[in-house]
Amino acid sequence: MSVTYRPVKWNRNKRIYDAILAAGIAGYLAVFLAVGSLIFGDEAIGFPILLMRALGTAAFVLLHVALAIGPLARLDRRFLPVLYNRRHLGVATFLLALGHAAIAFGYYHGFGLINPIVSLLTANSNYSSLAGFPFEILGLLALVILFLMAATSHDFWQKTLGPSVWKSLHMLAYPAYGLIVLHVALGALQSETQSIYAILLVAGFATVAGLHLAAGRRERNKDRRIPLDVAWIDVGNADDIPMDRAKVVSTPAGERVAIFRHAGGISAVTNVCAHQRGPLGEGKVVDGCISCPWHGWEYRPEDGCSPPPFQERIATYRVRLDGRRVFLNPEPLPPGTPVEPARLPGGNS
Amino acid sequence: MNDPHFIGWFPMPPALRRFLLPLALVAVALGLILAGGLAYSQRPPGPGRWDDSHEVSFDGIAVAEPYAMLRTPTETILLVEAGKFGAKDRLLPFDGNGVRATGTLLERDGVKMLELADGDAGLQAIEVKAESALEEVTTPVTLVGELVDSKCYLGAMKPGGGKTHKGCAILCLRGGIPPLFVAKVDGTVGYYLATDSHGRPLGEDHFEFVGERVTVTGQLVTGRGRPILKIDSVRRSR
Ligand code: FES
Repeated sequence: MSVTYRPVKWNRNKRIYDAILAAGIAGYLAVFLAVGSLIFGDEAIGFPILLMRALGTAAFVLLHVALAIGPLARLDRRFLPVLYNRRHLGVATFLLALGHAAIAFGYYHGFGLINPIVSLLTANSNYSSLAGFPFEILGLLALVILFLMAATSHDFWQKTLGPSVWKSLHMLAYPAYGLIVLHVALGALQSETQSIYAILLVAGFATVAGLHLAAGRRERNKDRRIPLDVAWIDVGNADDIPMDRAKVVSTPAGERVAIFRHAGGISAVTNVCAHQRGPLGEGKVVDGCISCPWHGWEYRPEDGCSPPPFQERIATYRVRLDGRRVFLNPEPLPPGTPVEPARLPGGNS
Repeated sequence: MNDPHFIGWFPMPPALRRFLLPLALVAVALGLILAGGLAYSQRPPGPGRWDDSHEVSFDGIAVAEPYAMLRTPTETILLVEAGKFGAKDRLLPFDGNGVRATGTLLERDGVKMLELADGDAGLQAIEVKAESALEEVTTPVTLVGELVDSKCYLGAMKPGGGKTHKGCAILCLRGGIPPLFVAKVDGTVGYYLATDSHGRPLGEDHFEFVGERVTVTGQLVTGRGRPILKIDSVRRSR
């Protein structure tokens, strides 16, 4: 939420994150290349092919990690810091995939009679056969998606495209994953002889799908359904909300609202962060501002505005107290509308 | 603070660090094991070799059809150009005559190929003894195996076959590299030059089967150098 955009705003956490990421990738590639060039003695796999495989598998492994972080963080908040810098993971995935594609393209489709691009697109047009399917095209489509995501991962694009367009674009990670699964299944798996590849492919898919299902189920259970005609929703006892934390409720319209208890009293704002729709209700009030658990954007609980110089605004909601019971008016107010916090009798803490 | 909340630009709360750092190390370690396992399980690339740093020469009779090759008294050597190109155009003026072919040698299971040296050094007319008459034998066969482009398969790429290599193989065949049909018969690998049913070079209609496991029915012609498989029909096996 900076007012001027810089390529990356570095901080210590990002540096540690990136150092672990870079070390992981470098280690992965080194081990793959070392083992791969030693196993067959002097009948070794050609280096370009080995490198292409190392890069391709590394990208695929990282994509699994990137897709697992979201549901993991929803299942256990302690994973949130990993989500914080997920975009670097995404960019690294794209770069690895790009390297993989560049080698495949140059080596397999270069040196020939036909323009490499034409060769890539026309070499195989067996779209009706599974065993013969031109799996390269699937990989290419996935690469285009990864590129779009990597290129627009910066906050500048987020701001320019708006949160919903941006989020939809980045939901394309799932189709990209599907395309890569097929790319592997109809490509490498057709010629490799060891069943471990098929087993790992299925295991990876099951893990990603399982985590998403588990996180989704948990969220659905948390959403308390409230009858449509209730004007004010009974949110429960104020003492059940930990200090500086929130309780999340769903309105009859299906919107999630985060009701924070803070030094000023009780305030309610939308649960959806203006940045990347992070769950504000899992954030915390720090120095008088709600801090988003995903990337730390901040909003004042009493009016939903980011502190100056930032200009982000989110919807606020009216709350009132009956004794220590908290009631929420489910009508959202326009983003940035000030609402007087409901003060608890005998102090707020 | 037993209620840790992470904000990117503040130091990470110690409780979180104690949770995440070991996990990150475990994840990296798992990644390394995975890398080793994946690399270790790759299929063997086969015994193809390409000594592209030394030139060698062979003397024999130039044969341009169906594919460029050199017949010596003892063996048949396939001839190709650099890159993904066949050498038929260069060989045609010498067709049926004695020639000394010079280039770098590719070899797999005794099947030889020369990538011809550039310019006149690649092919030189020489006198050779006429070939003694050889008897051709034609046998109807049905074989299961893979159509490959000979150059990659014999050693230019390792591995130079299979589905992942299919696009490259098609490009090679389009460029005139001779196709081989590789089939295991009774435990030994046979390498057959593949042609259409009339003995002409394979065309586009066969290229879609390259790099896959296929069943081929046709006529096997042996007795005169590298055996030729005249393909009547192909279908995918499995
Ligand atoms: S979603 Fe990024 S800070 Fe809230």
